[in-house]
Amino acid sequence: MQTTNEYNRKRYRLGLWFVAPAVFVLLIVLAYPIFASLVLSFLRVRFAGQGLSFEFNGLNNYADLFRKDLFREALFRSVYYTVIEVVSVILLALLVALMLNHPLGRSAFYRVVLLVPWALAPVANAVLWKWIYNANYGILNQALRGLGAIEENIIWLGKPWLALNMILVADIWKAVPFIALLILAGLQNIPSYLYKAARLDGANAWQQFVHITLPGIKTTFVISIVLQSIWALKVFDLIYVLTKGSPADSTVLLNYLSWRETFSNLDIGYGAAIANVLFALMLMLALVYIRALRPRQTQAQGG
Amino acid sequence: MATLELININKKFGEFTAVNDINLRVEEGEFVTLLGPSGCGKSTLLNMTAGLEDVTSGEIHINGKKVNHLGPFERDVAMVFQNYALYPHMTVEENIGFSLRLRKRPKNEIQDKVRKVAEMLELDKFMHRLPRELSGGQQQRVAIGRAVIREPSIFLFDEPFSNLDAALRLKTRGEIKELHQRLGVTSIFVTHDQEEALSLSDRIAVLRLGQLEQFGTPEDVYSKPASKYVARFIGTPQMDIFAGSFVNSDGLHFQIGEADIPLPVSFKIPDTAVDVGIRAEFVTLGSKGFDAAIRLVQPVGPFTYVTVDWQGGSVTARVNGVSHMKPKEIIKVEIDPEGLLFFDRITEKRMDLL
Repeated sequence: MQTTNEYNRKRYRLGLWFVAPAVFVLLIVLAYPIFASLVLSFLRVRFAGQGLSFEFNGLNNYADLFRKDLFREALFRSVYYTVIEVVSVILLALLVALMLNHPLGRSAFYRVVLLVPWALAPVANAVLWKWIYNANYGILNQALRGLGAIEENIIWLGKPWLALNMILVADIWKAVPFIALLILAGLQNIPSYLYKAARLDGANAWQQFVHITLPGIKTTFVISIVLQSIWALKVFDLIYVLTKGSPADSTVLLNYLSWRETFSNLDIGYGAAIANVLFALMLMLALVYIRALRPRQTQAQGG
Repeated sequence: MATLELININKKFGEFTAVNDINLRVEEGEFVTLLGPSGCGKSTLLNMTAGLEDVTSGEIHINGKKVNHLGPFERDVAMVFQNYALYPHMTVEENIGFSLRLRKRPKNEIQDKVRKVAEMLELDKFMHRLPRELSGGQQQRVAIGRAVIREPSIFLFDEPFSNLDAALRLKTRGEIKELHQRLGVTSIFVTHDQEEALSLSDRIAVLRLGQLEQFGTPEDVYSKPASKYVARFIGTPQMDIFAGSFVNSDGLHFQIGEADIPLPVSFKIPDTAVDVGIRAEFVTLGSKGFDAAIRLVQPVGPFTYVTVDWQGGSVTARVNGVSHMKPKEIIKVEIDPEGLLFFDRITEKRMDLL
C-alpha cells in the first residue's frame, strides 16, 4: 500500500500544478474585485486634487442604503422586475419547449429560429427594441395603429410604469429561448417508457403531464428559476440603452443604480455597497443553484 | 382472465415489415412466450397487443371482442417493462398505487390493496423508498406489483429479466412462474432467451423476421421443431446439422461423410434432399462408432459438453458428470438414430420420417 500512497501523492502534486494557472486567473479576475468592492464599501472615496483620497467610513455607506429613497425604490423595482421576468419567462419557455417537443415541432429549423434572440448581442438587442419602441417611427406604434388598436402614438418609454414594463418585454423576449432549450433538454430526458407505463396505468394526457412531465423537469425548473433570477437582477444594458433610468428615475434598478452612483455620481463607496447587496442576493441564488445541480444519491446495489 | 387472439396482424414501419401476417390464439390462463432474436418483431407484437402501437392491418381480440380502437388502459392489460419504467419521483407505495389513485379510489382501499400486493412481493419493508434506492431485483418486483394491483385480464412482460444478473434472473423467473400459478392470469412474455421460454411457458411462439415459425408447447418446439431455424434456436448446446444422403445396402442407412447411421425399417425415404440435425444427448462417445478427434471440452456441472471433429464438421456430445477427456484425443462417436431430426434441405422444414 506504501507504493500506492506514494503514487497518489505524486498524482496529487502534479494535479496542483495543472490547476495553479486557472486558480491564479480566477483570483485576479474574481476574488480581487469582490474583495476590493467589499473594502470600498467601508470607505469614503473622494477626488482630491490629483488623486483619490480614502477615508474609513464604517457602516455609513450601508446605513445610507436605508436612508435613501432611491435605493429602496430601486430594490422594490428590482424585485418586481425579477418576479415578473422569472414567472413570464418560465411559463413562456415551458410552452415553447412543449411545442418543440411535440412531433410537429421536432424539426431543427424551429430550434435554430428560436435561438436568434438569444444569440443577439445584448446591446444590439437593446438598440433593436429602442427602434421598435420609438414613439414617432417605431414599428410597434405603426402596427397598433394599423390594427386600429390605438389612435394616438404611445410614448412607450415615457411613462414610469409603462417604461419599466416595456423593458421587461424586451428582456423576456431575449431570455425565453435559452430557458426554453433548457426545459426542452429536460423534457427530452424523460424516458418515453414512463409515458407508456402511465398510459397503461390509465393516465390521460393531462394526468401524464402532471404526474410524469412536471416531476421530470423539476430540477430543470429550479435551475431555470435561479439562473433567470440572477439575470434579471443584474440587468443593465437594456436600461442603459433604452432609458438611462428615466423617466424620473422610474427605470432605475439595483445594478444600474450601483453603476450610476459609482461612475456618474462618483460616490464610489456607496456604489460598492449597493453592488455588495446585489452580490449577496446572487450568492444566495447561486447556492440554491449548486444545491439543485448536486448529483443525486447513488443507487443502491445488490439483490 | 381472458383469451387473446391476434388475427392476420401486420406492422410496417415505412418500407420495413416488422410483423408479417401473424395469427395467434392464447387461451384463458395460458402463459405464452414470444421468442426470437432481436428484430424478429416480438416486442412490436407485444406493444400492439398493449395498445401502445397501432397495427398496420389485422385485428386484436381480447375475450372475443375487437380492441384495435381501444387505448392501453381500456384493453385491461398490464405490462412489465424491460427497464421497469418505475416513476422515479414516486415511492414504492405510490408507484404500486398510481393506477388506483388515477381512478380516484378511496384512500383506505388503495392503502389496503397496495399493502396486500407489497406483502405478496415482499416489498412491505420498502414502501417509502424511491426506485433509485432499491436494488434491481426489488425494482423488478415493484414493476410486477404495479401490474398485479390492476388485476388485469392479461399480463404482458417485455423482456423483464434482461437487466438482472444471472442469479437474480433465475430467482425472478421462479417468482414469475409461481405468480402465474397463483393468479392464473393469461400472460404474454417476450424474450430472446430460449431457456427462459422453455422453463416458463405453456406454449412458445417462435418468431423469425416478423413471421411465426412455430407455435407449440416447450416439448414440441424442442423435440419436434418445425424448421431448422427453430431447431437451432432452441436447446443448449446448439443442434449440429449435417448434410447427408440415404444409402440402401445391408439395410437402410443415412450416410454422413464416411459415417453411416442405421435407420429403422419403418423409415419413409423422402424424395428430396435432406439435412440431419443431431442433439447432444443422442451422441455417445466411447468404443463404438467412428473415430473423431476431441476439439473442445466444456464442463457445465452436471454435464460436460464435448465437441469433436467429425465428418468434415463438428458434433457435440453431452457426457454425464465431469469428463476427463482432453482435446486432440481420438475417440469413437456413436449416434442414436432415434434422436435424428430430418429437414428438407430447400425449405428447411422438418419432415416426419421415423
